[in-house]
Amino acid sequence: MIGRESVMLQRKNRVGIVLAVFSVVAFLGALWMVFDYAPREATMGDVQRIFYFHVASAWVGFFGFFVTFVTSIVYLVREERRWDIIAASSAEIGLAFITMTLLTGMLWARPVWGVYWTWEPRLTISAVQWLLYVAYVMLRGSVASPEREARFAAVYGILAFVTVPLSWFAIRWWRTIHPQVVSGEGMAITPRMVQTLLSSIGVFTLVYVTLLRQRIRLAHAQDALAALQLAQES
Amino acid sequence: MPIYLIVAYVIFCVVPLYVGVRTSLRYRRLLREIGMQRDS
Repeated sequence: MIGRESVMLQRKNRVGIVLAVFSVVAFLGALWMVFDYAPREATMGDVQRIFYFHVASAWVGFFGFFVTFVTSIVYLVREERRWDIIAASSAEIGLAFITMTLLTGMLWARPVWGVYWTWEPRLTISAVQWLLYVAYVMLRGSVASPEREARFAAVYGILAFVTVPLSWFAIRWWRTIHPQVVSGEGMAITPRMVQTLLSSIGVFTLVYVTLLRQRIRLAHAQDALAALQLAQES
Repeated sequence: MPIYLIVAYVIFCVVPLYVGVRTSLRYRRLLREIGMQRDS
Protein backbone atom coordinates (compact mmCIF):
# COMPACT_ATOMS: atom_id res chain seq x y z
CA MET A 1 0.00 0.00 0.00
CA ILE A 2 1.28 3.47 -0.81
CA GLY A 3 2.17 5.82 2.05
CA ARG A 4 -0.59 8.42 1.76
CA GLU A 5 -3.40 5.84 2.12
CA SER A 6 -1.61 4.28 5.09
CA VAL A 7 -1.48 7.66 6.83
CA MET A 8 -5.16 8.24 5.96
CA LEU A 9 -6.20 4.98 7.65
CA GLN A 10 -4.19 5.72 10.79
CA ARG A 11 -5.66 9.21 11.17
CA LYS A 12 -8.74 9.53 13.36
CA ASN A 13 -11.89 10.13 11.38
CA ARG A 14 -12.77 13.49 12.97
CA VAL A 15 -13.84 15.08 9.67
CA GLY A 16 -16.10 12.09 9.01
CA ILE A 17 -17.75 12.42 12.42
CA VAL A 18 -18.28 16.18 11.98
CA LEU A 19 -19.75 15.60 8.49
CA ALA A 20 -22.05 12.88 9.83
CA VAL A 21 -23.33 15.09 12.68
CA PHE A 22 -23.88 18.02 10.26
CA SER A 23 -25.69 15.71 7.85
CA VAL A 24 -28.09 14.43 10.52
CA VAL A 25 -28.86 17.95 11.83
CA ALA A 26 -29.31 19.34 8.30
CA PHE A 27 -31.48 16.35 7.38
CA LEU A 28 -33.78 17.04 10.35
CA GLY A 29 -33.94 20.72 9.33
CA ALA A 30 -34.91 19.74 5.78
CA LEU A 31 -37.63 17.44 7.16
CA TRP A 32 -39.04 20.38 9.14
CA MET A 33 -39.07 22.51 5.97
CA VAL A 34 -40.82 19.78 3.98
CA PHE A 35 -43.54 19.10 6.55
CA ASP A 36 -44.02 22.56 8.13
CA TYR A 37 -42.39 25.39 6.18
CA ALA A 38 -43.51 24.45 2.66
CA PRO A 39 -47.18 25.18 1.93
CA ARG A 40 -49.72 22.46 1.09
CA GLU A 41 -50.07 22.09 -2.68
CA ALA A 42 -53.61 22.94 -3.82
CA THR A 43 -54.23 20.14 -6.37
CA MET A 44 -52.28 17.13 -5.07
CA GLY A 45 -52.45 17.90 -1.35
CA ASP A 46 -49.88 16.58 1.15
CA VAL A 47 -48.63 13.78 -1.13
CA GLN A 48 -46.88 16.48 -3.23
CA ARG A 49 -44.38 16.82 -0.34
CA ILE A 50 -42.67 13.65 -1.67
CA PHE A 51 -41.41 15.90 -4.49
CA TYR A 52 -38.78 17.75 -2.36
CA PHE A 53 -36.69 14.74 -1.34
CA HIS A 54 -37.54 12.86 -4.56
CA VAL A 55 -35.94 15.57 -6.72
CA ALA A 56 -33.02 15.96 -4.27
CA SER A 57 -32.42 12.22 -4.37
CA ALA A 58 -32.47 12.19 -8.19
CA TRP A 59 -30.02 15.12 -8.23
CA VAL A 60 -27.57 13.27 -5.97
CA GLY A 61 -27.95 10.09 -8.04
CA PHE A 62 -27.15 12.00 -11.24
CA PHE A 63 -24.29 13.85 -9.54
CA GLY A 64 -22.88 10.54 -8.25
CA PHE A 65 -22.93 9.09 -11.78
CA PHE A 66 -21.31 12.29 -13.09
CA VAL A 67 -18.47 11.90 -10.57
CA THR A 68 -18.08 8.27 -11.73
CA PHE A 69 -18.00 9.49 -15.35
CA VAL A 70 -15.28 12.10 -14.68
CA THR A 71 -13.12 9.93 -12.41
CA SER A 72 -13.39 7.02 -14.90
CA ILE A 73 -11.93 9.25 -17.61
CA VAL A 74 -9.15 10.36 -15.25
CA TYR A 75 -8.44 6.71 -14.36
CA LEU A 76 -8.10 5.74 -18.04
CA VAL A 77 -5.65 8.62 -18.57
CA ARG A 78 -3.56 8.23 -15.39
CA GLU A 79 -4.23 4.60 -14.35
CA GLU A 80 -4.04 5.49 -10.65
CA ARG A 81 -6.01 3.29 -8.26
CA ARG A 82 -7.46 6.23 -6.25
CA TRP A 83 -9.53 7.42 -9.25
CA ASP A 84 -10.96 3.93 -9.69
CA ILE A 85 -11.89 3.88 -5.99
CA ILE A 86 -13.75 7.21 -6.27
CA ALA A 87 -15.56 6.03 -9.42
CA ALA A 88 -16.71 2.78 -7.79
CA SER A 89 -17.71 4.47 -4.51
CA SER A 90 -19.66 7.23 -6.24
CA ALA A 91 -21.53 4.77 -8.50
CA GLU A 92 -22.61 2.68 -5.50
CA ILE A 93 -23.91 5.71 -3.61
CA GLY A 94 -25.53 7.13 -6.76
CA LEU A 95 -27.30 3.80 -7.24
CA ALA A 96 -28.68 3.90 -3.68
CA PHE A 97 -30.09 7.39 -4.29
CA ILE A 98 -31.56 6.49 -7.71
CA THR A 99 -33.21 3.45 -6.09
CA MET A 100 -34.84 5.81 -3.57
CA THR A 101 -35.91 8.10 -6.42
CA LEU A 102 -37.59 5.22 -8.27
CA LEU A 103 -39.35 3.86 -5.17
CA THR A 104 -40.64 7.24 -3.97
CA GLY A 105 -41.62 8.23 -7.52
CA MET A 106 -43.86 5.16 -7.60
CA LEU A 107 -45.35 6.11 -4.23
CA TRP A 108 -46.14 9.59 -5.59
CA ALA A 109 -47.52 8.24 -8.90
CA ARG A 110 -50.08 5.89 -7.31
CA PRO A 111 -52.34 8.60 -5.79
CA VAL A 112 -51.64 11.19 -8.52
CA TRP A 113 -51.62 9.11 -11.75
CA GLY A 114 -53.63 6.16 -10.41
CA VAL A 115 -50.81 3.67 -11.17
CA TYR A 116 -47.44 2.89 -9.57
CA TRP A 117 -45.67 2.66 -12.93
CA THR A 118 -46.21 3.59 -16.54
CA TRP A 119 -43.81 3.12 -19.46
CA GLU A 120 -43.44 6.77 -20.40
CA PRO A 121 -40.02 8.13 -21.59
CA ARG A 122 -38.61 9.46 -18.27
CA LEU A 123 -39.59 6.38 -16.26
CA THR A 124 -38.40 3.97 -18.96
CA ILE A 125 -34.98 5.67 -19.14
CA SER A 126 -34.79 5.67 -15.32
CA ALA A 127 -35.47 1.92 -15.24
CA VAL A 128 -32.78 1.29 -17.88
CA GLN A 129 -30.37 3.54 -15.96
CA TRP A 130 -31.00 1.65 -12.70
CA LEU A 131 -30.36 -1.71 -14.40
CA LEU A 132 -27.16 -0.39 -16.05
CA TYR A 133 -25.70 0.74 -12.73
CA VAL A 134 -26.75 -2.46 -10.94
CA ALA A 135 -24.80 -4.25 -13.69
CA TYR A 136 -21.86 -1.86 -13.09
CA VAL A 137 -21.72 -2.81 -9.41
CA MET A 138 -22.00 -6.53 -10.29
CA LEU A 139 -19.28 -6.18 -12.98
CA ARG A 140 -16.85 -4.84 -10.41
CA GLY A 141 -16.94 -8.06 -8.45
CA SER A 142 -16.80 -10.44 -11.40
CA VAL A 143 -13.40 -9.78 -13.08
CA ALA A 144 -10.43 -11.68 -11.62
CA SER A 145 -7.67 -9.16 -12.42
CA PRO A 146 -7.99 -5.83 -10.51
CA GLU A 147 -6.42 -3.83 -13.37
CA ARG A 148 -8.76 -5.34 -15.99
CA GLU A 149 -11.73 -4.82 -13.65
CA ALA A 150 -10.84 -1.14 -13.20
CA ARG A 151 -10.39 -0.62 -16.98
CA PHE A 152 -13.66 -2.38 -17.87
CA ALA A 153 -15.53 -0.50 -15.14
CA ALA A 154 -14.07 2.85 -16.28
CA VAL A 155 -15.23 2.33 -19.88
CA TYR A 156 -18.61 1.08 -18.63
CA GLY A 157 -18.97 4.05 -16.24
CA ILE A 158 -18.32 6.48 -19.11
CA LEU A 159 -20.84 4.79 -21.45
CA ALA A 160 -23.56 4.34 -18.79
CA PHE A 161 -23.47 8.08 -18.03
CA VAL A 162 -25.34 8.75 -21.30
CA THR A 163 -28.54 7.83 -19.38
CA VAL A 164 -28.19 10.95 -17.18
CA PRO A 165 -28.59 13.63 -19.91
CA LEU A 166 -31.13 11.34 -21.62
CA SER A 167 -33.21 11.21 -18.44
CA TRP A 168 -32.90 14.98 -17.93
CA PHE A 169 -33.99 15.82 -21.49
CA ALA A 170 -36.62 13.04 -21.77
CA ILE A 171 -39.36 15.29 -20.40
CA ARG A 172 -38.29 18.11 -22.74
CA TRP A 173 -37.81 16.14 -25.99
CA TRP A 174 -40.73 13.70 -25.86
CA ARG A 175 -44.42 13.78 -24.92
CA THR A 176 -44.54 12.67 -21.31
CA ILE A 177 -46.85 12.83 -18.28
CA HIS A 178 -43.91 13.38 -15.88
CA PRO A 179 -44.13 16.90 -14.31
CA GLN A 180 -41.61 19.49 -15.50
CA VAL A 181 -40.98 21.86 -12.60
CA VAL A 182 -37.78 23.47 -13.91
CA SER A 183 -38.13 24.99 -17.39
CA GLY A 184 -36.69 27.88 -19.39
CA GLU A 185 -39.19 30.19 -17.67
CA GLY A 186 -38.03 29.30 -14.13
CA MET A 187 -39.74 27.14 -11.50
CA ALA A 188 -43.52 26.68 -11.53
CA ILE A 189 -43.80 26.61 -7.70
CA THR A 190 -44.11 29.17 -4.86
CA PRO A 191 -40.98 30.81 -3.28
CA ARG A 192 -41.31 28.71 -0.08
CA MET A 193 -41.48 25.56 -2.19
CA VAL A 194 -38.35 26.65 -4.10
CA GLN A 195 -36.50 27.31 -0.81
CA THR A 196 -37.51 23.89 0.53
CA LEU A 197 -36.44 22.18 -2.69
CA LEU A 198 -33.05 23.94 -2.79
CA SER A 199 -32.45 23.18 0.91
CA SER A 200 -33.29 19.50 0.32
CA ILE A 201 -30.86 19.38 -2.61
CA GLY A 202 -28.15 20.97 -0.43
CA VAL A 203 -28.75 18.51 2.42
CA PHE A 204 -28.73 15.49 0.12
CA THR A 205 -25.48 16.69 -1.46
CA LEU A 206 -23.97 16.92 2.04
CA VAL A 207 -25.17 13.38 2.81
CA TYR A 208 -23.60 12.22 -0.49
CA VAL A 209 -20.23 13.80 0.40
CA THR A 210 -20.35 12.18 3.88
CA LEU A 211 -21.15 8.73 2.48
CA LEU A 212 -18.64 9.04 -0.38
CA ARG A 213 -15.82 9.97 1.99
CA GLN A 214 -16.58 6.99 4.24
CA ARG A 215 -16.89 4.60 1.26
CA ILE A 216 -13.50 5.77 -0.09
CA ARG A 217 -11.88 5.12 3.31
CA LEU A 218 -13.45 1.66 3.32
CA ALA A 219 -11.96 0.90 -0.12
CA HIS A 220 -8.50 2.03 1.05
CA ALA A 221 -8.84 -0.22 4.11
CA GLN A 222 -9.77 -3.16 1.85
CA ASP A 223 -6.66 -2.50 -0.27
CA ALA A 224 -4.49 -2.25 2.85
CA LEU A 225 -5.77 -5.57 4.17
CA ALA A 226 -5.30 -7.27 0.78
CA ALA A 227 -1.72 -5.94 0.58
CA LEU A 228 -0.95 -7.20 4.12
CA GLN A 229 -2.38 -10.64 3.36
CA LEU A 230 -0.37 -10.83 0.14
CA ALA A 231 2.82 -9.82 1.95
CA GLN A 232 2.29 -12.53 4.61
CA GLU A 233 1.57 -15.21 2.02
CA SER A 234 4.72 -14.47 -0.02
CA MET B 1 -51.23 12.50 6.34
CA PRO B 2 -51.31 10.16 3.28
CA ILE B 3 -49.74 6.71 3.81
CA TYR B 4 -47.73 7.11 0.55
CA LEU B 5 -46.06 10.23 1.96
CA ILE B 6 -45.16 8.49 5.23
CA VAL B 7 -43.74 5.40 3.47
CA ALA B 8 -41.73 7.63 1.08
CA TYR B 9 -40.13 9.55 3.95
CA VAL B 10 -39.38 6.34 5.85
CA ILE B 11 -37.45 5.23 2.73
CA PHE B 12 -35.66 8.61 2.53
CA CYS B 13 -34.55 8.28 6.17
CA VAL B 14 -33.73 4.57 6.30
CA VAL B 15 -31.69 4.11 3.08
CA PRO B 16 -28.96 6.78 3.70
CA LEU B 17 -28.80 5.74 7.37
CA TYR B 18 -28.42 2.07 6.40
CA VAL B 19 -25.69 2.84 3.81
CA GLY B 20 -23.81 5.05 6.32
CA VAL B 21 -24.00 2.64 9.26
CA ARG B 22 -23.16 -0.43 7.15
CA THR B 23 -20.12 1.31 5.59
CA SER B 24 -18.88 2.47 9.01
CA LEU B 25 -19.27 -0.99 10.55
CA ARG B 26 -17.43 -2.66 7.64
CA TYR B 27 -14.67 -0.05 7.93
CA ARG B 28 -14.24 -0.67 11.68
CA ARG B 29 -14.16 -4.43 11.11
CA LEU B 30 -11.49 -4.02 8.42
CA LEU B 31 -9.37 -1.82 10.69
CA ARG B 32 -9.54 -4.54 13.37
CA GLU B 33 -8.49 -7.16 10.81
CA ILE B 34 -5.61 -4.94 9.62
CA GLY B 35 -4.50 -4.56 13.25
CA MET B 36 -4.60 -8.33 13.79
CA GLN B 37 -2.67 -8.98 10.56
CA ARG B 38 0.02 -6.49 11.58
CA ASP B 39 0.32 -8.05 15.05
CA SER B 40 0.61 -11.61 13.75
